[in-house]
Formats: sequence, C-alpha cells, structure tokens
Amino acid sequence: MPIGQTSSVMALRDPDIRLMLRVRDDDDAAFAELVERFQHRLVAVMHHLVGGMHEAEDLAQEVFLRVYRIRKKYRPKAKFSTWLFTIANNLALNALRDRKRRPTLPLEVRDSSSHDVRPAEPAAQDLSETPSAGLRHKELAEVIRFALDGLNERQRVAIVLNKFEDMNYAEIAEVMGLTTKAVKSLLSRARTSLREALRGYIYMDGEPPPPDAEEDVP
Amino acid sequence: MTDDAADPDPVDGELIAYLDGELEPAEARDLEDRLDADPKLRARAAGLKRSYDLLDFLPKPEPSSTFATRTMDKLPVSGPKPAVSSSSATTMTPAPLSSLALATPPRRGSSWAWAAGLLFAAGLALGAGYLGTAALRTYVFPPAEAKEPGTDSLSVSEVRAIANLPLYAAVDDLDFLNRLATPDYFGDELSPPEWLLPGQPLEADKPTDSELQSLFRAFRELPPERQEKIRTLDHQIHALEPPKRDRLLRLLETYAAWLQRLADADRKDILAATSSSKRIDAIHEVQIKKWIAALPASQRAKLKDLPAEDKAQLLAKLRADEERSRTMWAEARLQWESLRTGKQPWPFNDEKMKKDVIEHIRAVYKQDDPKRARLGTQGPDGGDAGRLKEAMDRADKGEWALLGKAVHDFSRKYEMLPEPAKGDPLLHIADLPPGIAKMLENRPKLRGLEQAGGKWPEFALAVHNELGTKFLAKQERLRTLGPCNPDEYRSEVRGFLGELRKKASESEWAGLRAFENVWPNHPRELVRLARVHDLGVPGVHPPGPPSQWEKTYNAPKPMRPGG
Repeated sequence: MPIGQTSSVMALRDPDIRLMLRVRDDDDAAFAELVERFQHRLVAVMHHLVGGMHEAEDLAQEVFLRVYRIRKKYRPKAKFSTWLFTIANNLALNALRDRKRRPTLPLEVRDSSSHDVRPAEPAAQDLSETPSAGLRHKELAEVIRFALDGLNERQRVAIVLNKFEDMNYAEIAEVMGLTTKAVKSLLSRARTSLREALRGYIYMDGEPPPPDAEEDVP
Repeated sequence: MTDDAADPDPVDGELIAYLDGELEPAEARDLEDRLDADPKLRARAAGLKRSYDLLDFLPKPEPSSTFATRTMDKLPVSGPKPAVSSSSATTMTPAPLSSLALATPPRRGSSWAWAAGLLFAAGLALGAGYLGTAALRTYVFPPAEAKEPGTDSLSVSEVRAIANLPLYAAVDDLDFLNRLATPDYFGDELSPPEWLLPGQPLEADKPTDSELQSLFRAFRELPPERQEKIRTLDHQIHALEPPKRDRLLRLLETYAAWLQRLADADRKDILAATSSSKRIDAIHEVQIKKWIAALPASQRAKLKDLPAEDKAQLLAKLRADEERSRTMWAEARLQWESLRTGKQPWPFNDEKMKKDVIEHIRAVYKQDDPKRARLGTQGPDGGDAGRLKEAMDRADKGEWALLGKAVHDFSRKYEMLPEPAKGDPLLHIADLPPGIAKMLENRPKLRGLEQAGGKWPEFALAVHNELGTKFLAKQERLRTLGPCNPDEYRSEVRGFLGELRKKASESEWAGLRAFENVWPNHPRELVRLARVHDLGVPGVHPPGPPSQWEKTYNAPKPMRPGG
C-alpha cells in the first residue's frame, strides 16, 4: 500500500512507523518486533496506572492485540508511540472505570513483589544512605503508590504519561483527546495533590528544607 | 480522589508548566526573574519538583519472560508465527556454578566435566572466531539422533541464550562478569574504549540446527533456576548499550579461551567453586600461580621460602616492575621501526601532517592554557600531562613515535566533541543559562562540576549528567550545552558533514538528523558515524583516517604471563 509524501518523510525519521507499516502489510515478524520493542514501556505504564502486575500485563496484551486487529486502518500521522498510547489510554480508562463500578480488592500493589519488578534507579539523593530517615525505598514506594492512587483516573493517566513516557502537554492532549490547556489544568491539579500527599516525604533525605518551604504553600 | 472540577491554583499552574518546560520563553524569563527575587516562590517550586521527583522511587516493572510469547499466541491463526524474544528481569542471586554441574547427566562423567566440555567447545572454536566454524562445532556437538521437540517453540532470545551456552557455562551473573572486566582480571585485553566503538553488534555465527539441538538438550538438563539465570544473563547483556555489550561478549570469549587453556586441576578449581566470589578468588589464584610459574627460577625460589605477608609484598613489587617493563618494551617496539629505517612513523613522515597533529594537540587538549588544560596530572611522572610533555620533548629531538602513540591513546581516553562556531564553549557555572544555574543551586553534590570547570566537553557533560536529559529536554535547554545542529558547528565540521552525507546510508543519516538539537546525542552520533566510515571529524579526531592511527599505534600489549 503506497504512503503519501508526508508519511514517507515521517516514516523515514521514525523507525517505529516503518515497523508499523510492515505490520499493516501483514508482516507478522514485524508485529513480533513491535511487541518486543514496546512491551516494557506498555507494561510499565499500565502497572503505574492500575497497580497490579497481572492486570497490567493483560491490558498491555489487549493493546497489542487491538493494534493487530486495526492494523489495516493505521495511517502515520504523528509519532507511532502517540497512536499506541492513545489505544492504551482508552483501554486503561475503561478498566479503571469498570473497577470503580464493581466492588473489588484494593489496588494490588502488593502483588508486585511476586513479579518481575526491579527497584527504581536511586534518585539523586539515595535514601538508603540515610537510614535515620527510617523509611526504606519499598515503604516509600508504597506511600507514593498510595498518593498516585488518590488521583482520579484522568489525572493519573496524564501524570504517568508525563512522568514515565516523558510526553509534553501537546502529546498528552493528543493521546487523551483533550486540549493542551485542559492537560495543563489536569496536571496542575494532579501535581498539587501529589505535593500535598507527599509533603512529609519531600525533605526526608537529611537535607533541611529551605526556611520558607512549607509556609507559603496554600 | 481529587476531582477535575476545582480550579487549579494559578501560581502552582505556572510553576508546574515552568518545571515541565511548557512556558513560552518570555513567560519563563518573567517567572525566572520572580523566582530570583522571591525565596518563598523558589521554595514552592522546589516542593513541587521534589514531590514529583519522588515518583522515581516507584518500582519499574518488567513484563514477565513469557509476555511476548503469550501475546503472539493470541494472534489469529495465519501460518507459522514468528518467534519473539522473551525478557526477564528476575533479581539475580549468586548462582553457584555447582548447580550447573549438579545437573550433569551421568553419561557425561564427573560433576564439573559437563561445563568443562562446553568450555572446551567454546575454546576450540575461538581460534576460528566467535563460536567457531561449523566443522569444529559439529565435532564437539554431534548432531542429534532424532529431532526433538522444543527448539521450534523457542523465542529468539532463548535461542540466542542457548547458542551462547558454552560462553555462559562458567559465568555466575552479570556482576561476576563485570568483576572479570576489571584490569585485575581480563580488563586489559578488552580495549578499545567503550565510547569509541562503532555501534555494530558483534555478529556470532549461528549454530546449525543440530548443534542447537545438542545445546538445547544440555540446557534443558540444567535445573530450572540455572536455566533462568542463563536467560537473565543473556537478556541483561543484550539489553546493554552496544559498546558495553560488545565488551562483555569479548570478555566472555577471552575468559572461555583462558579456561580452556588451563590445566584440568586449575579449571576444576574454578568450575567447582560454590559461589561467585569464591570463583573470582579461584580465578585470581590461578592467574597468580600461572604468573609465578612464568618467573625466572631464582625469583620463584625466593618467593617459595618467604612467609605469606612478605611473599604478597614481593609479588606486588614484581608485578609493578613487570607492568613498567611491559610499557617500556611496547614503546621500544614502536620506536624500533623508525630507528631501523631512519624514517619517522606515519603521520610524521609528512611535514604538513606533522604540523596538523601539533595543532590538533594544542586545540583539543589546551595544554598551553592552565585554566583549560584537559590532561590529567595525577600519577607517576605527572600523569598524562607529563607524558605529553615528554613526548613533545622527544619529538623536538626528532623522535616522533612516542608522540603519535600518546595522541592515539589520548584520543581514546578523552572524549572530544565539536566546539561551537561562535564564542567559547560552556566551561563554567557562571556561563550557564539562569534557569539551569538555578536548578543546580539546590544540588548538594557539585564537586564533579567544579572539577570539570574550564574543560570542554567535560564541564558540559558534567552538567548534563547532573540534571539528566529528561529535565533538560523539557526545558528545551539541551541545545544550550553545546552545538548540536549543523548551523552551530564550525565551518570545517559543516564541511565534514557534507563528506559524511556522501558515505552514510539513508538510515544512518536519518538517525543523525533525528538527534538534531539534542546535545550531546547529535555530536556523539556524528563522531560515531565518522568512525564507522573511517573518517576523522575535524577538531575531534587526530588528522588522518582513524584506521591508520589504529594500525600504526595500537600494537597490542603483550599478554601478562598469568593472563
């Protein structure tokens, strides 16, 4: 199937688009490569959104299968990952809303220990260096997880795409079908909430807070 | 749960957009002025940033090793499905190789012989290249009598892990391998430096089907946990950046070949070690033993009669003496050819090239300017700075080989990136744009930056390392660290880009263009592509084709007697 001139230029610059165009042309090996290439990012994003490893893998798998089912409709318009995460966004939001409708177990952060979850890279200040802080990474991760779960679904999606997929506001807007301005508000509310929820953990690495750090925060 | 209806605080909104690099330049400048003047506003921004940074503490989950295969299995049936690579990020625990040995089928003899057999296979084949020739492999791994079920259903990465089994057989895990990669063990034999290697993967011969069947059978007989560890090791190695991956692949070959050359008893000591650290100790002991065995008889006798502590001291002294002597001999060999023929070595046999090299040294290492000099001064004889000075003195007396060797070694040791067309490169904290300087204000550990101050590209790279690509990219400030598109390079580099364009493939060129305005990715890719096509980037590489420098000045060091 021929592609237009703009698409050709985009395809040349984005190897993911080239790969997806092969998938569109029924090249199953290309699809296998696509799964290989994106499985880590998709599973990680889904895990950050839904909290449990089983559900994250099920959702990521459903995203790939949906990509396969609609491959013939694929037209390169933007970065391939934007298109992929648009599909992921729809599936994740549906799953989160379904979960809200039915009574269920609490978010299954706790099951992550039985899976292939590696600890995050230590941040600039390694908390393990200051045992007096009294909170290990794992406990801190649970606190942060709890704070993330406290956001509503759309805020959580925006945060996860911004933080872990490094998307700018325009890309998030495209994925979520919102305006850039709406994304800005969404992220602003979400990050203010996170700051409130994590207020007690911000200056726990031995460094004293700046003198006015907490006074002026509304 | 928080809701979307409430209006966000406008000041927070503005700070967050600023931290995300989403403000218009004029708005950002305005906010920076206000941040400058208002400590409370700064504290508020810091609180927002720090709480967001905390999300980095969340675990980074990896898909299970069967995820990709399960996904492919769910595709509608349409002919044979392509294999996919599986992944696994299981945390490694020390993996006693004895677990591998314990799985030895009785027919293969004693408990360590199976691993030794695999190593022997690898060792035999090494003479003929990575995993060797088909003939040798067939000899070592006789074809399976009947095709067994199994390998068809393996994923690509499992096939790769199994094909490399002879190399992995005596390796515990990635940590173990990294220890072996240090100069105390096999590190000296693994040059060239990581950042200089072209990104081409090391290509291994593919084992034939029957060899793969043999390896597959051997693999299947291992305990599941050892199988998983081998899969993980293979996955971890192949997930590394190409230069690091290739270095470890070379190490695996070197280590396997070394093991294969050992006496049976020594090899057995290493293979039978019950933990990774004990295996490292065993390797060290064998290396020392082999080294002592290669000493003159009188020194051996002297060592033999000494108490343990004195013995260790004398050994250390003898090894240091040997290191010095090896370096001297390497230099002498280099000089020999020019002494014998009375001709100066390339490129100093050409007056223009000679001048160009001197100019290159001046421009790249800045030794004339104490504030910008890049070469280290630590170590015996004044470190690299002392070495350059001595080589220049010798060159003044007509002996140029040492200078050539020094220039070549430095070009591998000190990363260089093109300087900007206009003005000085980024050299000091005071030169940083206000936004970046402000972000650095809150960082306690700036020693690396201070040490790199005045040096290009060391200082800009240190800023980049401190703040990270992600933050800088969001602030659209990566390009302020150094030149990263054709217009920002000096005219000779721009001219060079035209030359590179003619040699690079479409995909290489598209890859380079994709990095435009991203520093240091664009200049690094430029330097990498230049090497791939044996071109030198002006102001980065010494004049002349890199391959000619390699050929003339990269005479391998003699192996250590114990190595």
